[in-house]
Amino acid sequence: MLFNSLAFLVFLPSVLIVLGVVPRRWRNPCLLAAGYFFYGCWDWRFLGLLALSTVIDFSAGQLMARSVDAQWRKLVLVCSISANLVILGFFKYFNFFADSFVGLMHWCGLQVSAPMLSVVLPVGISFYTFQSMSYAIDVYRRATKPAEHFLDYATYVAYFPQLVAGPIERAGHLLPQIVSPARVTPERINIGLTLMMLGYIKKVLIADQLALQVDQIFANAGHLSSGVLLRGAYLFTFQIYCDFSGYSDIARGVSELLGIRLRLNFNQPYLSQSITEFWRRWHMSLSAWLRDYLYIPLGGNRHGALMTYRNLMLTMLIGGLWHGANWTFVVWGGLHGSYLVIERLLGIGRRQAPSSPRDVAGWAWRIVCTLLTFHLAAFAWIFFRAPDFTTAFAFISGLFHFTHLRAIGVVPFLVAAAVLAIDIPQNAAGDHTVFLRLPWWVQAPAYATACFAILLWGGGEVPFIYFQF
Amino acid sequence: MQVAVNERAVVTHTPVDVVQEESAAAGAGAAQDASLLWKVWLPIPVLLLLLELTFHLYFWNVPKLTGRSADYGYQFLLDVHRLQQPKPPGTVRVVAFGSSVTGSFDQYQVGSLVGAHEPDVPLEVHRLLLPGIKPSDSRIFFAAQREAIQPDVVVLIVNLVDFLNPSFERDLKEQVRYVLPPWETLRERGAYMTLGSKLDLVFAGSSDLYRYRKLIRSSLRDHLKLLPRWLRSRAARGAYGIYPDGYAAQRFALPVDGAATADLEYYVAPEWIAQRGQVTLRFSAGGRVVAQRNEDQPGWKTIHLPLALQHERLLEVDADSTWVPNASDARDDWRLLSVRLRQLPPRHAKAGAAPLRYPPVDERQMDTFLRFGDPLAGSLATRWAAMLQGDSEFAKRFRRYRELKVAARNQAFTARGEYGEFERLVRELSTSGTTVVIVNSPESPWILKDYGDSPYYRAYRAFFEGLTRYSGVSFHDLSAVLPAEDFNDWHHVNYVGAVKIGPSYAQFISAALAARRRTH
Repeated sequence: MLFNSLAFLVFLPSVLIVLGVVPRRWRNPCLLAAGYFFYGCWDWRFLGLLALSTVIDFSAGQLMARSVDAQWRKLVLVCSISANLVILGFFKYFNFFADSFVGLMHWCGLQVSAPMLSVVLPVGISFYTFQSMSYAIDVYRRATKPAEHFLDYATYVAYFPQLVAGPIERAGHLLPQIVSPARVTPERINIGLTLMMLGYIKKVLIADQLALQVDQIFANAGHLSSGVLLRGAYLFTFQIYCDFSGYSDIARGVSELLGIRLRLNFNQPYLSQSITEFWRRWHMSLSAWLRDYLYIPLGGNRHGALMTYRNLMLTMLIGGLWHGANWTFVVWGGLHGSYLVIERLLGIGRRQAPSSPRDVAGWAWRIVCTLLTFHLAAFAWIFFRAPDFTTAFAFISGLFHFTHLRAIGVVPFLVAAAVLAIDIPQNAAGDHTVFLRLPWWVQAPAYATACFAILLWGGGEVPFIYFQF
Repeated sequence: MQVAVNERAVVTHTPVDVVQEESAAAGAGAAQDASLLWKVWLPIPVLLLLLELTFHLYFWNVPKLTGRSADYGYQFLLDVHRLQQPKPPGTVRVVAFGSSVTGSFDQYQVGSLVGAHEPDVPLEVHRLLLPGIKPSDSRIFFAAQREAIQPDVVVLIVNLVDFLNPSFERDLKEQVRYVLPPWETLRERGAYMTLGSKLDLVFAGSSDLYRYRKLIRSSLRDHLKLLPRWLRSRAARGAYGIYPDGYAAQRFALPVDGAATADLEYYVAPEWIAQRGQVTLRFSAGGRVVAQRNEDQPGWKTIHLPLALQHERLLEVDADSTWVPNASDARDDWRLLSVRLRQLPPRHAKAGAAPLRYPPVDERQMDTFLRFGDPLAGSLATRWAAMLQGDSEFAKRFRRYRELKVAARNQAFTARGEYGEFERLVRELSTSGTTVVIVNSPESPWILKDYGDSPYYRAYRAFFEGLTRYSGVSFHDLSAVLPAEDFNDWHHVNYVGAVKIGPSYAQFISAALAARRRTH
């Protein structure tokens, strides 16, 4: 079920009404049923996989919590992580690795064949597997208490607002709220509705409107002028941001209506002044996951510069592969890893605020850094969006022919203006619900117009890009 | 990712948490006033409900700014809405109905020709065209709308391509989804739909804002595009719409330079009367109509026009139709013309294009749908032959149509599926007292030669002949009446082809009206 579908328009009020009327002890069973229904709407056959992942990590948590034997606890953790990775690997990466192996053997002059599986990728498997794994690791590290009841844990894994595309929650943050959610106050409803409205504006009115043009440009990358390709690169840069951050905003908004606060997943990433800062603001829940469960265990920055660079590159390459079973994602991750390494080498990457409003040079430097970071990210997105290297290289090659640059048109600039109109106030206030501070007579017509526009331009039910991961 | 920070610092208190706590605190501070809930969020559903309840009061009164051939679904619904208005007592209402091949029916031409032959009959001729609509869809439409649109005569224009749909029960094309009545569609096709599709139709049936959202979008977009153009060009500064050979376009203007009266001499071509039966000319100055002439005989005419106000600079003339030289003789002249003028304005008095009006499109103009590009360049037949063999989406689509039709020639004809639905439609219309004229639309000789003589196509025509057993039903076959140069592709005629077969349609309708008079 999509947040931008009619089914969700019926589903959400139904869930809110049911949760509002059932006794407290029935709340989590209802929330769990809602999560399974929400997920089962795509393909009910994968509900078993969700349940399996839940059972594995809950059991692992219980076993580790009841034991003081370090070896035993480690063994349980290894089993739990292995089981999760086997599920993820089988459904998401089997064909990718088999195909890559065959390709490598052919390159070495050996004729081999590998079995290919015709399995459908379960939607959101990367998200809920990572969330479930983080629970087992946190329990092992004693960073979080194990869930007391299976029902609570199952609800935590299958919590529908963030089940299929995050934010990837930690048990320490979400589980206590599942066990005892906050009261839904008018304040929370205001916050929730504002976040949902912003999310739908980003998704329906911006991302979905760009999708067709972006698809066409990437489909014909080899035959287009530099201006058109540049437009395609810019538009995809905004599309993916509005699509994914729009989803996160809606997820957070819906969750507020349920009395549960989800973690922030996007914090105006295109206003970053370095790639280092970009990754503190983009898909923050995944960044934090990779940092805590991959980069730091690899040694982080504790073993000298070279090891730090290696760890950065490895983390980003695996982060790239997490997104999809395609080498283009690995290259995308590698590009970002390289950016981070170069920034470390050059000693840049820390945010520098102008000393005063009159510090013209400071402001100019800040703008230059922001624009440079934006363009580095936009360049890397070409590999992310291109279905294969042929398309990606044709796109980049065409981009640097510098032909018909005026064909870029005004649309990217209009979209940039629309995105900045949301991001700059949020960034300045450090508050995603900053628009709630506007007078009601400004908010009411603005939201009513937005709502009307969403009604008119919505209905296409364009899937969220990150659902494929 | 957050890998470039010192992990010791962030493990205890991550920047994520800091931002989150700040956001939450600030958000909570901003949202303290619970009254916001009522002031900001409550008006939204109220406003939407208000727009929903009053939808039919405002939306259909907003002019569609694009031609009939732009946004067919919108045009179809607009035409249906007009037909739902009460019919004047005693008026005979003729409705031509069908898929894109119905483009060969120009309702203004046919109406004018029938009206010229039967001046005593109060007559309305309408056309409801929706590309891709199948007989099964048409049946759903008429079952729900027949009583509301009150047709006396229905002209069902068909083509073989309309019937080549093996899975018609499951087929609900995007272009007909919101055009067909939602509840009836749900009832008829619900068993073959996904839950999402059913829900979509439930919403479409419950909310006009939802059902017609594409139309609203289209209208908003067109108005936004028009606004700057309209602001730039509202008034004509000189003569316009006159060709160097003296012929004028459908709208033209002549300088009068503040004169109190104007005398105009103009020629009504016999081809025009042959193609249209009768024409009406409206003369205006300063936005006021000063005279109107109805011409049903060709030849030179004169008119004396009192202009009343002496500061007017232009005499503007509007014709209700045009004629096409190429449709009447062998001349390679594809212009849409009206009268010919005896005296041309001086060259310096010409200012070019007609001023933009609101709405900018005159519905009586020949469809651009039937023109398909610049008709002046080269031989249409050659151009379209090359086009259909190309690698464009258009060519691929039309090659597929050809393959479908040619593949049908060796099949056994059974009157099931879409044929069964069509018979049901004809039977229901006949039972309700509606006169039905079935017309097999023209086919290009390029394709007809491949299957026209096949047993399947013979059985196809015999099927329609068989339907004349129902009361008030007649069948006419126009499949082989036009040469290839009168087509844009296999089965869509161009505007010359439409002009040429207009008299045939008029003749069929006149015959149906005569038969109807005899039986009623």
